[in-house]
Amino acid sequence: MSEDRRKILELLAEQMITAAEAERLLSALERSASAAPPRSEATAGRPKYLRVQVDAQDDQHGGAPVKVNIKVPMQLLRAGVRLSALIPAPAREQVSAAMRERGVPFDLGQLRPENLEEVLEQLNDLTVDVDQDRAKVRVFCE
Amino acid sequence: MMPLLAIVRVRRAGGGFTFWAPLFLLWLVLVPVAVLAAPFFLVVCLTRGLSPVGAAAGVLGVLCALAGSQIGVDAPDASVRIRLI
Repeated sequence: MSEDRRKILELLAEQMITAAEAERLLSALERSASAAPPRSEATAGRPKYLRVQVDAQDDQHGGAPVKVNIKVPMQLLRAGVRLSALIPAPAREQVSAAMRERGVPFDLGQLRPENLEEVLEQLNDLTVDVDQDRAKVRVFCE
Repeated sequence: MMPLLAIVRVRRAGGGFTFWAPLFLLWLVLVPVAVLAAPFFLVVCLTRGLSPVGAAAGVLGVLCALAGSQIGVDAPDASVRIRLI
């Protein structure tokens, strides 16, 4: 349900508008939605940035808030993956072995540009929230 | 496109400043350096078994993808923001 539709229904529930007015508003909303140019599926849900936000407390300043905000273009991730394809095979195997030892069974060789687009599209739904007493970390795509 | 400008904004309790760094001048300076370093780059790529064209394209791709990056740190006594355009 869209935000506008919810607001109209809330106004109706609070009896601030009549049922007829709500109906007119909803039909106007549907008209404007259908008149809007359709977004292509290829670009609609594709995230452009990877955001990392850290809210922490500075112990040296009596627990004053410290915020870190990092915005990384997805294009940089793509370029990084393409660059990782240039890693020589022996080095790649060492990286994969080291990751396996740490419990991440991930093979860098399997990350190819053609798979990358699919991964990046799925990142749209990614949100990582880490809440601790003294720090909060949020990783998401937008 | 490579980032052409870096905007560094520093705020402190006593004031602050905003610095606009023209990165395109840096790239212009680095072009002759890159030309001079190209033979060494070629040798290193060939000895490591890498495609020189692929490696150069990869590095260039990373540089071009840096545009749009932002880093901001807000502390109690200062804040720093770096933005690449």
